[in-house]
Amino acid sequence: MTFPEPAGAGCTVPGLWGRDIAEALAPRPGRNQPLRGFDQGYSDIVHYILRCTHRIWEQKDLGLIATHYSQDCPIWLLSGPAAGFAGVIASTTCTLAAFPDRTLIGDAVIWSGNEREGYLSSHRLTSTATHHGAGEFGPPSGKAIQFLTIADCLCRANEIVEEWLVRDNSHIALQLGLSPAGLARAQADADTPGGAAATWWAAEIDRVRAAPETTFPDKPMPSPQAAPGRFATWFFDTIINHRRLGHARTAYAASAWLHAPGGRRLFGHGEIIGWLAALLGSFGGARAVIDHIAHQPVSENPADGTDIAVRWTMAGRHDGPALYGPPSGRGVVILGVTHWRVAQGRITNEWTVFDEIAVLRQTMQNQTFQGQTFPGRPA
Amino acid sequence: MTDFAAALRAALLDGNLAPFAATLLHRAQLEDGLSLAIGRDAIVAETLALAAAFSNRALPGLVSFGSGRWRFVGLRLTGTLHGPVGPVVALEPQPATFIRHLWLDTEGGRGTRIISVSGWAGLPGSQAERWGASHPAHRPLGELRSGRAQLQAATNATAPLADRIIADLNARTLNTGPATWQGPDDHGSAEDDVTGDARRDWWLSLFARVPDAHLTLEASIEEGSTLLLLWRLQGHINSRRFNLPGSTILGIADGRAQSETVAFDELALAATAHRPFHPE
Repeated sequence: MTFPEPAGAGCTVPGLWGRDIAEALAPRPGRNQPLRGFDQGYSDIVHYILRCTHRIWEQKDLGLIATHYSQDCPIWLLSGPAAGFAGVIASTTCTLAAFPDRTLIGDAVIWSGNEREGYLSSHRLTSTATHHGAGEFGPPSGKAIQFLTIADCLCRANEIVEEWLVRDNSHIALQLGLSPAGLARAQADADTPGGAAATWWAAEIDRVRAAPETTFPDKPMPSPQAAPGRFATWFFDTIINHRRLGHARTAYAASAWLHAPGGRRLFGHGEIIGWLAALLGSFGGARAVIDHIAHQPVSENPADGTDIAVRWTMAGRHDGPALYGPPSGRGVVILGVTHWRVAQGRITNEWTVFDEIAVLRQTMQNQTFQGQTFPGRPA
Repeated sequence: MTDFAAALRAALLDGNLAPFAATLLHRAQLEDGLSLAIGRDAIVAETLALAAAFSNRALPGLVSFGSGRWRFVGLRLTGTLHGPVGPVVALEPQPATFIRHLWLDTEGGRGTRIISVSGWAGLPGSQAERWGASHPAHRPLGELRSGRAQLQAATNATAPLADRIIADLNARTLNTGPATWQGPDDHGSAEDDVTGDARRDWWLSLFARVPDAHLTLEASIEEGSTLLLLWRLQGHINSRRFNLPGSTILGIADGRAQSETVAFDELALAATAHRPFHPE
């Protein structure tokens, strides 16, 4: 799979770099880019994403979801797929009941596409909230929390027509004093054979396994700013799939930060490689495929860097105890989104988000419907 | 004085926090190595709490540097301490001096991230154990000196001064500092320590407590004859990984450091030993 590289157009749509939220949300006349079918109040895809998020979540206009999601919109969550705006309204209502003061601080909107095929926006949010109501994390604790979310949305004519949503649920659990494994166990006990989640997980594992394997990678690292698509492909092939973890010292700045699931804040080559080793060491034979790449210059000044968004799927057999408990031997799939800020030829910041509770839940499945023959380490 | 420093002065002395808020973007974060305040409102609340903890406030020391991406403010806040500030709790009002180095990472002149390094001169009663206990941590992942293993830390005589200073500390070459030094919590002072002994002994003491401690340079500012360094100290205490920011102000002449002031949060280091691990 190939991905488009920068066309040299520069920063055509203003992102969030250096802009305050009041400026980013303000209604603006006219369009910054073609937006056929979008409401006149939106000037570009970044404005659309930020403004409708604010209106729905912070201004509590949940009904607006009906005009901003298609009726049958598929929503891909690792905890199980959903479809349709009615479900989005219901889940948003439940989340707001549990965390009524949730503030969604937009950190980045990294987009690709066009008005004909649709715009794909990868929207990273840091949320702050207080646990004031009962919900999926139990009775209200009154605790203040913060967590990362990345929503990849395919948008056409004012509607989100497909969404991939990743949220750092284990970080929420930990801040509330809950055990992610305990929450996962309760969910796994309630799973039924042939349920929507299990069926999707199995299909995704098959999809990752069917991806062609590559030969031993020995090419130099492409420039992440001049060729972000080739850089991302190189990264996942060389460092992830072929386990050449030491190349992370080339890919990341010495003082790089990695914001990883569970609210982990990892600094420098040692901790970043340590987390990669733990993740890959949890799943023998794990391989990843890239599903989408988007990139945008951070600002008009190339020295400020480039933002890259990569949505990926990883599958492997849970045969190592590094991150997710004693090996279960189960096949596990991970839907993840990674955002990189690259500058001066290196990654300076990374945010990787996936749902670790859904990962743990897969390791606790009682059924034998999936992943039993996934290639792993010899026993 | 930069806009940020002037706004901080108005916030801390006058209780006028609106100009300070205006120097930050909505998504700004404040980090001190143990905790993270997210959003402009949370940072304003933290600054207000600092001002409220003191009466008879004064800022006898306030310096600022930087006009590019990184900005620096160093302050000494004196007064009568009433309330809690981090791990420090005044059981009864007492005179206190709070030292803070703030590194502001900016976009278009407004802050998105503040790294704070705090310390105290004439330390009031502290509760590092209680403070650590309220900050659960993940179990450590990864190593500190990636890919080095048995290889010795190397120094490069032609590297920029900022890199050489960090490399010397990682190589435990501790006798290369400037003649005058003022350390965390006012250890040593320019007046008392004309031999550099206090500098050497402070680092010796730190590395004795944390033998695997490793420094990484995160940012630097060079302005006139002043060089400022923001660095990270990583290591383990009681099997807990810590990652604490440290800050150095160097006076430079003839390509050499002639004076040095270091800020590092000793109480945060002490609190590390008491951090519980997150539930599995």
